[in-house]
Amino acid sequence: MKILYYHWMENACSDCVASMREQGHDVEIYSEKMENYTRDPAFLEKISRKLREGYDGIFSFNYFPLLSEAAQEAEIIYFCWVYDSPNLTLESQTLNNPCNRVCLFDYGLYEHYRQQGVETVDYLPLPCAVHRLDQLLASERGYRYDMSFVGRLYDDSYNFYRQIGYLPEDMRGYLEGIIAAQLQVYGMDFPSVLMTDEFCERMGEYVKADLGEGYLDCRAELLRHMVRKEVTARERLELLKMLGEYAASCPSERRVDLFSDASSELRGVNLRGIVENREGMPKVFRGSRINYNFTLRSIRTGIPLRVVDILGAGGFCITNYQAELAEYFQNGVELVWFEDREDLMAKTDYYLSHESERERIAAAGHEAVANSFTYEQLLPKILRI
Amino acid sequence: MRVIIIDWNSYGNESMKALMHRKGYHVATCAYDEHLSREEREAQVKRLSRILEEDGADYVFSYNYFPPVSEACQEKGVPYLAWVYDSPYMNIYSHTVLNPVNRIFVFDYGVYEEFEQNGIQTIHYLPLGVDAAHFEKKASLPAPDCDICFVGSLYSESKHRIYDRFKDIDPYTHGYLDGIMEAQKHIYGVNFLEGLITPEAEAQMQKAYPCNPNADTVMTPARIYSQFVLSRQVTAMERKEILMMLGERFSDRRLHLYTNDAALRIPGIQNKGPVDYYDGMPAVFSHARINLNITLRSILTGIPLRALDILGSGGFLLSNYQAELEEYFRPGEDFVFYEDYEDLMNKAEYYLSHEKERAETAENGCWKVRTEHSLEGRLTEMEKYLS
Repeated sequence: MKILYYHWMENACSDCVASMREQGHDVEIYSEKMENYTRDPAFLEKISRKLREGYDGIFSFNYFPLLSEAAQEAEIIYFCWVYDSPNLTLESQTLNNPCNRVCLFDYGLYEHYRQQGVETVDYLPLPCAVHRLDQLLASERGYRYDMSFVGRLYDDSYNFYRQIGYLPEDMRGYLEGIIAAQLQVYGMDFPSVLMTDEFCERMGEYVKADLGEGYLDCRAELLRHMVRKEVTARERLELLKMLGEYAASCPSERRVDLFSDASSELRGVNLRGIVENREGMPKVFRGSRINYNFTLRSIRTGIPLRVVDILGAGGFCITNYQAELAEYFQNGVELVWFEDREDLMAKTDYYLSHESERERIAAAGHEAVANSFTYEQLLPKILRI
Repeated sequence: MRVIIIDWNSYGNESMKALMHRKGYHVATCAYDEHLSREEREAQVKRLSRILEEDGADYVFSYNYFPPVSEACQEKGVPYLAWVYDSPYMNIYSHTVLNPVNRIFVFDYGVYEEFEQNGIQTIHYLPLGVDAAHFEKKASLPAPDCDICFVGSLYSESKHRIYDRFKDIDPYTHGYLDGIMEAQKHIYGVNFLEGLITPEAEAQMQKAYPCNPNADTVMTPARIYSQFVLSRQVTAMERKEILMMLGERFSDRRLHLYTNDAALRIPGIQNKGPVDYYDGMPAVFSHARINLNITLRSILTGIPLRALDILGSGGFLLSNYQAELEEYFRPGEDFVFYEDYEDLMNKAEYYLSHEKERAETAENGCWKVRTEHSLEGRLTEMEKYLS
């Protein structure tokens, strides 16, 4: 198949393209910038001209309405693999275009769209370039870190919940109640049931949330995402604080290494800054006794890319519970999930001191990902006509 | 065996008396009523002390637990077996629970665990039980047939509507409490309300509805508010919402509600008013095709008495998730769980149209309760703690 691969800021480009080529596809990388996700006549014209060279399909990670439009016009397929959640461009009017073949890694989200009658979406977990990582890490030995977390803390200017100016007190209290409760519970998303459309309607009078032209009206969902992100921000900070305190008071002198954009000092936590994705991050995963994943609360049931990344690098992973984990893995066999804070601390303490068990689990996790989550296995499931 | 039964208007009292008579015990009764004035109660306890002094006893038994009874037993050195079927139950937070004569039994493992972790050795775990012979006899009496039945309080009477007293607290706190209660409504198996009561929220609640635990209890205000106010409110909302939904969805069916508030109206539901626990309730259950158990949210893991009553009467039980129900009974074979409202509606629909399965499930559950959860077996368990 002749594929035009649309490259933007995503890290997975070279792994994905290499695998496509290995599978016999003729792939050309195209990285023309878009001015705007829904309306950019100049871009559309350029890509349409490009497509006249004769392609069977366009491919991109995450969803781009303009690519769908171009594919629709050229009567070819738009293959799309979404790894962000939320990926707000999915709310575009174009999602229903018959040319689309959109794969979502979150079964809950997939179901959501299917229930809305969208037939262009499919479900597919996220991939890992296990073979490249195996080569990259072949000579890595020993541990450089005890407990690592790679990820954002969401305490930046994109945390819109914290920028809400005025909200009536009863609504603010209600939201704080939802957040407090959500911090206690995994596997059940409170915003989707407790922030009803009526509530969001009222909230929308005070909080601007609108994607603008070309999108469905998804104000309610934007407001819910705002709350989900705030829950994640508080949770990550709280859990890192707890882990840091634990590390600092551990008799065997442990430490937490935080690879993030974070700037606030936490006891027992080394701030390491953002780590480069292709080589730096896998080395962190392999070189850490424990790698944590605290899923962004917008992900309903899916396995986040971070978990696949950790396992693929042969790292030992402790994560919060996500429904789909239980479909692919067993707790304590390929990775470990915790149910609440107490459980997280108990498992951290246990696995820090049970080295061989931990290494056995990491090896099993690596094998599981090598067996079912590689590009070789997953790509053909998208690239079907 | 000489036993003194503390006589009050409790569920099961008559059954326990009859059982002990059958076992050939010498049973004396001694009235005690917490609702009487202090003088009257003191007179009742005095009488208990006199009987203990003059006739002696191998042990004193009561449903639920009464601190003055414990004190009297402690003074005379007579064991006090108390079987608590209410949860929350303020009296077990009394300092008197530490009296070594006590053998207090709670049916909720979650509650037991908490005491056990605090090193309290006088509180034990024992699930509730049924008087099999009594249920068998009463279940065959006549009662109105119906499709779906709920027996229980909707906490609609003003004395139960404590949350209403918070309507004038600051809007932020009111919103916050609404938020955590709405969230709790969707979660079974964990009660996070107490842990989410912030000091500010507690202060606001104190202003609107002061609770000053007296010197004799170790129950904190946060616990009192969460157990007696918020958990009850969640249950009240939940029961009402479920009944309203059933009324709408099954408008062509006979839906019966038995509740103390005879004036309560819910569209599509026939409110039959109160039913007598001892004589009337078993037949109500056995004549309903589906019986609902919607557990009071302050019960953490335990099997509520209502669920056992339903099973013991030969009724088909459709219940919310409770960990101990799953432990002692087989979901789908002895009874059926629902996971949320929608699931409840679907399962009600299913079992109303699958009579054979429904009847078999009810029969399995009934057999299991009557053989493995009999009062007799439970009494034997309790008496093991005498030595």
